[in-house]
Amino acid sequence: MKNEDLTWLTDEARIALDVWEQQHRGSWIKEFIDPKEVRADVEAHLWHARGESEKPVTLDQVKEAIQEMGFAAPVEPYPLVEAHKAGFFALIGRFLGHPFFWGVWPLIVVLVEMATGLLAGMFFDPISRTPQAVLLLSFCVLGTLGLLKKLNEQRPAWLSILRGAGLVVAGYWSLLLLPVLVIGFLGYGLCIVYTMGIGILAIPLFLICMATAAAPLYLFYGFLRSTNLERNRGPWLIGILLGLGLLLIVEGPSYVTRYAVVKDDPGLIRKLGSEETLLSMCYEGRVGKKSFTDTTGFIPSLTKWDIFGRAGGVNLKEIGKRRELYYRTTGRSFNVPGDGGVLPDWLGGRSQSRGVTLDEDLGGDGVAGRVADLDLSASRLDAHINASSRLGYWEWTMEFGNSGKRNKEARMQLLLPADGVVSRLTLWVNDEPQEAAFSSTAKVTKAYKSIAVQERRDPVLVRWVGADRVLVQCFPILPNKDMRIRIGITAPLDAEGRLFLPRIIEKNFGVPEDLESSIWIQGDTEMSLDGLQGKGAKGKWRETHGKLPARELMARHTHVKCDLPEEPAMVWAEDPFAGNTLVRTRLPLRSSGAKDDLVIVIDGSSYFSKWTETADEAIAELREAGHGVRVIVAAQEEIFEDPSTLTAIDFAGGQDCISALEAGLNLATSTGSRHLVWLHGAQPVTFSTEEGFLQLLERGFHQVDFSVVDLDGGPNRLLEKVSKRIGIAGAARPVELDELIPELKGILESKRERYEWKRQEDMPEGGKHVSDQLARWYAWKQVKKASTGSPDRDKLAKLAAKYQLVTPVSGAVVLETKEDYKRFGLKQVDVDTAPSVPGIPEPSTALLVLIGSLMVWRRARIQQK
Amino acid sequence: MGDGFDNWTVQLRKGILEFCVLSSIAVEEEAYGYELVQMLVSAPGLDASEGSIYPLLSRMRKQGLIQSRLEESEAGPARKYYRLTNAGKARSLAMQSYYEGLTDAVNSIGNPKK
Repeated sequence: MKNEDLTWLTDEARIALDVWEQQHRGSWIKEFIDPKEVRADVEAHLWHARGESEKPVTLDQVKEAIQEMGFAAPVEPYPLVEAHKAGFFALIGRFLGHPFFWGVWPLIVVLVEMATGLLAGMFFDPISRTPQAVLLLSFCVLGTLGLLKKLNEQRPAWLSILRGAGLVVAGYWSLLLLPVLVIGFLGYGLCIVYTMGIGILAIPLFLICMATAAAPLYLFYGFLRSTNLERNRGPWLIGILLGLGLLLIVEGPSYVTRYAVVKDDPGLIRKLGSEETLLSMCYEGRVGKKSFTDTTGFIPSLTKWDIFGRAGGVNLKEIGKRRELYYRTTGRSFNVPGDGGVLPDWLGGRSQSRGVTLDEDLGGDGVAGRVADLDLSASRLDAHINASSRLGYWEWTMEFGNSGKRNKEARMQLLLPADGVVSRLTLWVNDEPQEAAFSSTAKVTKAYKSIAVQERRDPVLVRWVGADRVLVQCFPILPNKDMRIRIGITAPLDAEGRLFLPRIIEKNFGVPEDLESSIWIQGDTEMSLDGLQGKGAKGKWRETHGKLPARELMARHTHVKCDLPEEPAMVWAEDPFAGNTLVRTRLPLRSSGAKDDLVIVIDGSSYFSKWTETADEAIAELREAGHGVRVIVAAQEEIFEDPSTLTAIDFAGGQDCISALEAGLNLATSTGSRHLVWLHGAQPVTFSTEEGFLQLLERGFHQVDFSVVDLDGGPNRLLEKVSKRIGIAGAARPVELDELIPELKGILESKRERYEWKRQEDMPEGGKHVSDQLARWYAWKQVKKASTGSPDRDKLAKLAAKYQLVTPVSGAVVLETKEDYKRFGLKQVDVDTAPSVPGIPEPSTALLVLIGSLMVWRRARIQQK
Repeated sequence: MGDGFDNWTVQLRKGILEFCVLSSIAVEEEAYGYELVQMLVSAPGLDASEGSIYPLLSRMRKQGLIQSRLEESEAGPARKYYRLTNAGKARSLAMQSYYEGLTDAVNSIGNPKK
C-alpha cells in the first residue's frame, strides 16, 4: 500500500493495518510470502466488504477481516492507535490533522498576506521575494490538490515526498511566525471581546496564527504516522531533503547577502547573494519601527551570533555602510531602483499601516531613501530657445501626490542642462503661484528647515549641490493632496546646438509607469526632440511638442537638437537687474594646433561595460591624432594603469574613483599632461576623503585642466564635493556611444565659444537684441567662476540673489506668508522680474511689446540714475 | 451423522479445494484474487472459508503452481491477479484426469447395474 492516506479507512484502522503488517512481515518473509500481497488481500477484502457505503472502515472491521481471512492476529495493543484514541491528540488528529489545514487554509493566509501586507507592515515581510511567494503558493496549491479524493486513493509516492518537503518549508515559516502565533491568539481574543476596530485586524492575524500552527503540525502528524512503516521512510526523507534544498535555493541568497554584509564582500553578493535583500537592508532601521525587513533579517535579530549581522543593532553608521555596499555591489544608488509607484512590502507598500511609515530623513541635506505613498503625479516641461543668444530656458512644473496618512516631503536631485542655472522657483499656495526668495544658501536653508521641519508649513527649497546639480525639497505634501512647484532653468546651447533636458537623477518618490511628461519647446529656429511628433510654425517662430514617458526621461540624457543659424557677432539685452545694457561680442575660435596630452580616468563601475569598446576606439583615435593618452581605470576595487584594452577588464559593481583620480593627477603631473578627464557614472557614496586629490589640484606646480564626461547620469557625491572646491574646465554628456569621441575632442580642442562682455548705458549700434536671459546667464558665469576661490562669498551670494539664481553660494526658497519672508530677512522676487516662457505673439503685437519693454527699461534706467 | 462423517467431509473438501482453485484459475487466463476467493466461498457444497483459501493460495504460490501480480487500481486498493504456472497447468490437468477417473470409479461402485 503506497498511500498512507486512505480516506476510506479511519485513522485507527489504517494505523492498525500498518502496525499489524509491521508485526508480521518478518515471519511472512521467512515463509516467502510477500507482505505487500498479504496487505493487498486484506485491503481488497475490506474495500469490497465496504461496498457502496460512505462510512470508512473501522478498526474493528480490520481486526475481523484479518481473523476471517485466516491470517495471524495482530499483537495488541497498538501503541500509535492507543495514543491517538484519546486526549488532546485526538483533537489534533481529527481537527487540525485534516488535510484542509495543509492546503486551503495556508493558501488563504498566503493570499491575504500578499494582498494586504499585514505582517509586512507590522513586523517583517514573510514573503518579501518572488521565489518565496512561488515556493509557498506551490505548496499550498499542491496541498490543496492533495485533498482531492482521487489523488489520495491513487496513493502516489510523490505525495509523501511532497509532504516531506512541505514539513520543512511549513516548519521554517512557522518558526519564523512563532511570535505572531502568540499575538494572533491574543488578537483573536480581542476579536471576540471587541467586534469592531482591533477585532477586524485580529481576524487575518488569527488566520495566520492557525495556519502557522496547523500546517506543520498536520505534516508532522503525517510524518509520525507514515515513517513507522519502513517503505514510507524513503519518500518522506527524500521530501525532507527536497524541502531543505528548496529552502536553500530560496533563502540561501539572502543569508549569503547578510553574511557578505558582515564580511564587507560585494563580490560574494554578486556571485551568490541577493541584490533585493541588500536593498531592503539599506532601509532597515530607517522606516519607522522596523529593524528588519524580511525572514532572513528576523532570525539573526533573535540570536547572539554575528554571522548574518544583528539587525536589531542597526544604526545610521551601519545603514551608511550598507548603502555604500549596495553601490559597490551593483554600481547603482540604493534609492534609484524601484521607480514605480508600487513599493516593496517592507517599505509599507501594501500594508494596512500604509501611509504611516516615518520618513526619518525629513528636512535632511540629501535625498535619502524612498518614502512610501509619495509619487510624482504630473510633469510638464516648457522651453523657449533663442538661437541668436545660444540660450534656452526651461520651466519644469511638477505635481506630487501623497496617498498616505502623514505629511510627506518630496526630495530630488536634478541634473540641469550642462552649465545651466536655476533662475526661477514657484510654489502654488492655495492655488496661487508664489515666487521664491533668493538669498545665501545658509539663509534659505535655515528658513526652509524652520518652516518645514519645525512649523510644518508650506515651503520649497532649491540648493546647488554640485556641478549642474541641485537639490529640491518641498514639504508638506498633505495626505490625499497634491503639491505643485515650478522650476525655471536658464542654460546655454552647446556648440552642436543641443539643449539638454533637466533630469531627475535621485528621488525619494515613485514615478508611475504610465506617467508622461508633456513637453512644449518653442524658439526662433528649427528644433527636434526624438519622440515628439507635434510641429508648428508662426512667422519666425517654431515649436515642437508631445509627450514622453517620465521614467524614460529620468533614465538617460535627453536633448533638443536645434538648427543653429550663424551666430551673430554681437548680441545685447537689457539687464533688468543692473538697469543697463549687456553686450556680448563673439571672439574668434582660438586653436593653438598643439596636440595636448591627457590622462583619462575611468570610473569602471558596472555601467561602463557598454562603453568599453567605444572608449578603446576613442583612446586609439586620440593617440592616432597625436595626443599622448594615458589611462587610469578604477575597477574591481583596484587601479589599472594603461591597460592594453578595456574589454579585458571586468566592470562590475560600483567603484570609488578618488584614488584613481589622485593617481591620474600624479600621472598627469609626471608626464606633463595638460588635461585630466574623468569618465564617470553615478557614485552615490564617497568612501575616502577627496582632500589629497584637491590638494594636488589646487597646489600642484603643474597646471592641469580637470574635465568631466558624464556617461551615465545619477548622483555623484564625489563630483559634488570636488566641484564645490575647484572649477570644472569642461563637461560633456555623450548620449550615444558614437558621441564619446567628438566630446573628448571637444574638450581637448576647447571648442567652446569665447565671448567678450561689456556693459553700457545705451543700446549698442547694430548687434542682435535678445532676451534678458543673457543677463542672468552672465551673472551665473561670474558667480560660478568666482565661487571656488572667492573669499567674499556674501558679495557673490548677493549678486546671485539679485539675478535670482541658485548657485554654489545661493539658494531659493518659497515660504507660505509675507511674515515668514520678513522673519527670515528674505525678499520674495517680483513676478514681473522672473523669467518665463513667453507666448508667441502676433507680429504686430510683438512690435508693440518690444517698444513697450524698451520704454520700461529706459524708465528704470533713468530712475536708477 | 456424527464426528466420523464430519471429519470425512472436511478431509474430502480439503483435498478437492486445491483442485477447485486450480480449475477456477484455469478457466480464465488470469483471475482477480478477491473474486476468485468469493466465488470459491460461495460455491454451494464446497463450504470453503476465506481463512482456508488464502493460506492455500500462499502455499500453492510457494510450490510454484500459481503466480500472482499486483496492479494499481484507479479506485480502491491495488488488485491482485493469479494465473497458473506451467507446473500448475500440468497439475490441473493431472488432477482433472484423476478426478474424472475417480468419479467414474465411485459411480460404477455405487451403481453396479451400470
